[in-house]
Amino acid sequence: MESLIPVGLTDLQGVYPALNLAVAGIVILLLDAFFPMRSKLLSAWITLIALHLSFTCGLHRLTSGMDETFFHGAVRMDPFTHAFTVIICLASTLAVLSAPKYLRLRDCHYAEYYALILFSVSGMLLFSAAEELIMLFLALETMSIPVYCLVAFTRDNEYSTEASMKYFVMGAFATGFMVYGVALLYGSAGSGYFADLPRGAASSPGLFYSGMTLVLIGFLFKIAAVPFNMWTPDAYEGAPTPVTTFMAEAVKAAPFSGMIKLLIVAFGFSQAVHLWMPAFIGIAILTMVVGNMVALVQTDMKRMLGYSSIAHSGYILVGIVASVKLNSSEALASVLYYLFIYVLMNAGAFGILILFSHKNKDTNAIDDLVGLGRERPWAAAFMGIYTLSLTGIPPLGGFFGKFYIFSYAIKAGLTPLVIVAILTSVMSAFYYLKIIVAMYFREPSDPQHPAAFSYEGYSVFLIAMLCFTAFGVIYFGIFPKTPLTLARLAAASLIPAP
Amino acid sequence: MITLQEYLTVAALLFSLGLLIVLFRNNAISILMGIELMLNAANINFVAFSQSLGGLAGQVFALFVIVAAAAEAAVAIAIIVLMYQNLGTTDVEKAKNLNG
Repeated sequence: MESLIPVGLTDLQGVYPALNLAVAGIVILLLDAFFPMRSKLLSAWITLIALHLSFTCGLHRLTSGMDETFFHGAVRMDPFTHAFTVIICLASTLAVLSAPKYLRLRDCHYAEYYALILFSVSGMLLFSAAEELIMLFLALETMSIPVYCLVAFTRDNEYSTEASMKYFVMGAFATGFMVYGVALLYGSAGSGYFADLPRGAASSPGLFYSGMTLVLIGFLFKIAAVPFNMWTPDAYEGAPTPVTTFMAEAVKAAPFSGMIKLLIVAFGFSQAVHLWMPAFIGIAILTMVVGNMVALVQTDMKRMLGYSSIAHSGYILVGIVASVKLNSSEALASVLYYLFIYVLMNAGAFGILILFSHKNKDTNAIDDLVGLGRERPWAAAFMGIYTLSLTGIPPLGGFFGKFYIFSYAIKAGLTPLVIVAILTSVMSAFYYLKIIVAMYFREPSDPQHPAAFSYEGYSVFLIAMLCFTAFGVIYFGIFPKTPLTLARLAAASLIPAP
Repeated sequence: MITLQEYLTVAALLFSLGLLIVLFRNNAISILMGIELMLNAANINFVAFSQSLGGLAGQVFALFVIVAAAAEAAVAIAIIVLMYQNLGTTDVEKAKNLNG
């Protein structure tokens, strides 16, 4: 009879960034239950402090190069994980900063919002640390289930409810695929550890490869790659805008972390790569083409950004394929850098929408922004920076992110893929520029009564978020050295230098 | 004696059944049941593999899946209730405010 599995203090210290967030979430719930306060700003502050602690812990561990395993090898805290800790905590901080005023406008500023965000983020951090299939699955569920609730957070809003329903059905469907795939992988290898999985390919290839396919389909649902993208635009449009911000950044970045780790550690041997690589190239092409094409005809900003986020998944897939093909940590570093910049610019774009949201109505349609450049030059300038960066205009961050990924893809001999990527990003300029044209060059349809832009969504938190993202998009575009060095450090832990 | 092959066949059938329900039924509660079927198909696999390979990892895995499925069902039912309150239907095809 084996003794109980010992869980020591070192294990708990090892997962400190995730644990800290979960504890903070529970504290928020208990505080709100026993000492209810009208203003929920205390909860917001606790959330921000907890995220900040995890962020600094991740950054500190990243620079000190900590690489250890905990919980009997189920969790590996390596620089790659720390890098994602940093990116995800940053993304969630931006999303939390955008929330308080918007929720108050909608009369649903509850403490549960922050607790749900914290639980979800703690799942994400474990997701990027998982080295074992049970851990991967549990972290995925911890990450997803709170987001289903968050999408439905404006309770009496029918759009929000419908979006939540659609997101739940698709999310749970993807989970079903993934669990079934995990079962087959476990059956083939006889163990859940990523490092043991390649053994299964040799002993029972049928089980292994069908399991691999199902797990990867589950992941492709989560990152919204075409043809598994149908939930994205609806969920983005219907969700409250701060939740959309959260979904478009943190919930987007986290599945990539788990997928990259699984692809390199468990499916990184040459027979498996020969199977999934061509499929991924095809899916990347489809994702970029469909995402950008459909975004062209959208009139709703949130929906358009949803399609644009699908397209960005395509660019990131290009980067992943290139880095596996080259087996180079430099190429993987460019993917991390891209995710970092993507988080900043996307958060900013949603932030502007929140700034102008009204009591009962969002400012979402592109037509709503007509005349913004004249009425509110600062807000228009910020929006201009984000959209230009999303398009990929130098010297902004978005340009360098794409540039690094595409140059490594060319080095990997994926020239046709890069041609498609560049053509589609030229196409993306049309719909991003549509926003700029609306803000600066279009005359209002009724010149006697131009649209009034009032900062109804204004709050100090939101302004801080907008300033930081705009500054980050410019600064880290011109001086990409610091994030790139950190990203290289992180990528080297997953792909050792030859 | 039931062989591993037979367990896997039953699980595969259940999984396909769940898949078809999710794809072709419109009632939100039916869809939820379809998803539960998919998860439980995976559970049968876990337990069957655990039996044939020895070791407890598969059974532990099945327990975790049950817990996660329960959490998911709780959230799903809350969303369905909300949907009935706001839209007056549990038919996902009739919920078409978002043009998707």
